[in-house]
Amino acid sequence: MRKMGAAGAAIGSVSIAGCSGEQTTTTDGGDGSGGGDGSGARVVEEDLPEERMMDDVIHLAYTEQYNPGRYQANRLVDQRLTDEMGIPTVTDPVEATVVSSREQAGEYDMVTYRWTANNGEPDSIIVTRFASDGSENWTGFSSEEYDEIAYEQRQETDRDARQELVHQAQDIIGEQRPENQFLFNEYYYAFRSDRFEEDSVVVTDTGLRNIWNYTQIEPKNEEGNTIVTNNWDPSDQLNPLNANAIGPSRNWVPTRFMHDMLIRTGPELEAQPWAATEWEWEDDTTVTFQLREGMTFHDGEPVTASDVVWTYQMMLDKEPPAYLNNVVQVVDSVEQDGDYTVTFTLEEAYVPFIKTTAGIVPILPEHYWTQLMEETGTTEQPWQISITDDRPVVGSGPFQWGTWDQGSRFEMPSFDDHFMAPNIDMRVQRPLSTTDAEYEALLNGDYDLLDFWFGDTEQLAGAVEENDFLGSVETLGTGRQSAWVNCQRPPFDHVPMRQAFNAVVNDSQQTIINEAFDGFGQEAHTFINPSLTFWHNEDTTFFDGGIEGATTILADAGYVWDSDGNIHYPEGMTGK
Amino acid sequence: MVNKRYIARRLALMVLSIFIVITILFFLFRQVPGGPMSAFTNPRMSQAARQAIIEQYGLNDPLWRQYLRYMVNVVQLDFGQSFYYGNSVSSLIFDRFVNTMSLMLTAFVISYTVGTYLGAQLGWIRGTTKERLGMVAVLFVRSMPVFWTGMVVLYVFSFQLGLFPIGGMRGTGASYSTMAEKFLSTDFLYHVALPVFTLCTYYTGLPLLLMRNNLLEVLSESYIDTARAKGLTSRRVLFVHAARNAILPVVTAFAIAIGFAVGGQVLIETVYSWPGLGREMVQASLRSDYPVAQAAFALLSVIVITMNFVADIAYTYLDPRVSLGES
Repeated sequence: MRKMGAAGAAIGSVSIAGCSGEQTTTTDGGDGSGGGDGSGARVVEEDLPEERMMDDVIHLAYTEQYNPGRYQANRLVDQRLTDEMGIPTVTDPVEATVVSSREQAGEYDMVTYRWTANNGEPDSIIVTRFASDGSENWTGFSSEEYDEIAYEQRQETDRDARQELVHQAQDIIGEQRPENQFLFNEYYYAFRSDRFEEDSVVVTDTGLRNIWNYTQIEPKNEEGNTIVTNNWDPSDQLNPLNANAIGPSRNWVPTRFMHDMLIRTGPELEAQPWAATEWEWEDDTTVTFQLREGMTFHDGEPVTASDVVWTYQMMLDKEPPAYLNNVVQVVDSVEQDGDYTVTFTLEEAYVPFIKTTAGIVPILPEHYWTQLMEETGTTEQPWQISITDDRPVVGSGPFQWGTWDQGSRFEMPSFDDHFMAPNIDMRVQRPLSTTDAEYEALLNGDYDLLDFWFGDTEQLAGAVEENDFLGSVETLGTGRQSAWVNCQRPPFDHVPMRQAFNAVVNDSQQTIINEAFDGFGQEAHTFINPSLTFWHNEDTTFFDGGIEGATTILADAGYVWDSDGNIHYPEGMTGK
Repeated sequence: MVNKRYIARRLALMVLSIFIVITILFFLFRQVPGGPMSAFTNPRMSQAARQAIIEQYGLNDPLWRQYLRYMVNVVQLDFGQSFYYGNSVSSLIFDRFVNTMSLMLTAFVISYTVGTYLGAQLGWIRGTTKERLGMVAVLFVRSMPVFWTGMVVLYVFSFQLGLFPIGGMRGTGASYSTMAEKFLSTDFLYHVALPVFTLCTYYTGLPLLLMRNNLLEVLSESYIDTARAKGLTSRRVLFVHAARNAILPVVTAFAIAIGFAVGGQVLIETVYSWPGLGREMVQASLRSDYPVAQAAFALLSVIVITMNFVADIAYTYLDPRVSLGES
């Protein structure tokens, strides 16, 4: 049985109708060779000065071992650039930790990885990645026109007007090409269909590891009552105030399951009532939440407005690094009105507030945390408190703390008094250190489902095909795999160079999807995934025509080639 | 026997070696590209948040000041907080250390007992077909890479026959109130069986070969002939007269092996998903989690240095002819 997630329903429906912007048609080269290598458009000159020759283009990449598909895709593109375009491109695979530090130091020409939109909120890409002062704008892309739109969209309360702005933002980035998408990845996960009602399985952008699935999945038998699952890296930090607890999914999944937030993003990535039954914007900077009545924390104490106010106020006072972006810099004040009403006043209009703040900040029990902070003497930096079996998490979420043997297992019994109490009794994370062991554990019944799958997708799909007791789901996720280019130094500080690169990447997408990712992916031309239907701009500008098209763009911009086929900068421009 | 001044000198040298090792580790890990911040894998963290964390861990101070602070703490046995886990390094390392030792000690005790015994037997029956076959078998098993043996054993006994768990240290739902309960339960034995078996196939070889070769030498000594002439049973000659003298190098090998056991068997820990110190050391290095990596390597070197010392001292008791520190 193959079950497609709501977010995955868009698979196959996206067309590549979106066409290149104002790209010119291919001109005939003088040498008459024509053909697919683009030499038809090439301007070949003799005796070009040394300084116009292009230096090696460094493609910063993850190692093949880390992600074979991604590595192969990089190699393919780099080879085409070198062989067919005469652009000397070098794949430079380094350890995962080195990629980000070199990227942030600007020591690269292009860098490839996968990136998602936080909770399906486009703002996390539009401002953070591409605005001139965006906190993660490592490409150095800068455009006044873009900045204006980027900041306007986060303040635009009219949804349709905001959609228009988000589309415009995609179009500018599409034209300017600081980012070049390789593909929208599709993910495949498997579960034991002999233990669960297949109709009760819920797939979201994160596959099976989402709260809707874990609260709604219906066990068929005793074995299904306890869900044992993998998590690639074992959880290592479960203090909900720590930056590491809300980032990587190995920690964020259990943290999110043990706590309630005011709202949660639903399977369709829409904001859904959770601890708050409703909310209302009174004006652009004031929003009021109505809390659900009758909720309790895992220790039996009631959840009230004062816990919510305490949580946010504590963050405003102590400024935990994890919540600087979405709470400290955004919220001006928070007040309660009675036991079940909370009003936030924002520094300035910030439309993503519902998803990126109310949907992420866990509601903490004031009585328990004040006690924790006092006992440990950690009143100023509560995110430093070490959370263990002796000092567990007390939240109000659908799952509660059980036992934690760091590195080998984490058990979370379900919380029966929750308004969305799970149908299962317990969720257990048991990491195994190889994908082969994970695969066998699913087959022999040690695992009930796979929260993560980094192994061979074809192998897993084959097992599902062969065995009646396995079911599978697919999802498109909310991310894309892209190459970001360094707009601060040659050659990619020159827009035509980026556009030409885009044409080569686009021309390679089908091969990448079929060869490197076993067909699990879709062509991609913008940074907003089509699973975010409302925000995705399918008419985003991109460049096509393959090598021929790329050559034309470069030739029009004045680039020339020597008789050995090496590219040279236009007159007046030099390399690094 | 053992000279007190000699012991004092050795102890001073040990402290000096450990100091040098810890210093080298401190600077070595800071040369690794990447840096601890890139281990915070949440790419959404803003620059301000990053800066806050760098300051929190004192990473913005000059290196010499970080070094001084670290050394002062280490002298007080405070290894700081893990960048990655945010918890105390000491308790983390202790936890992993116990896990690793529960696996490695079990394997070593079994390997060295069985190996010594079999080695003595093989030496005794030297020259027979049985001995030759035995030697071929030992060399064959000893030549198999331990991770490969692990994968084959796992494949046969776990994937195919389903007799043993696929990995990890304990089963779902198992709970214990004390440490002793944790390591003596049938659940633990069930999980430790395959990795220990795998390790034993590899580690039994060394004591076995050592024992056999030494025994061959000892057997040519005249006191063995005397023992035989007295009419003692061959069992008594072998175990009371010959084996006791042949065992010395095995004792040294055992002590040194225990020292290195702390580092665990990274490959075996990976194959069997064992949450041990070996894997933690590798990961801490990759994550640039300096405090954990430094403490783990420091622990490893302290134990190796100490066990070497212990082996030397043990020698003087096992063989009264050996004396240390007398020129």
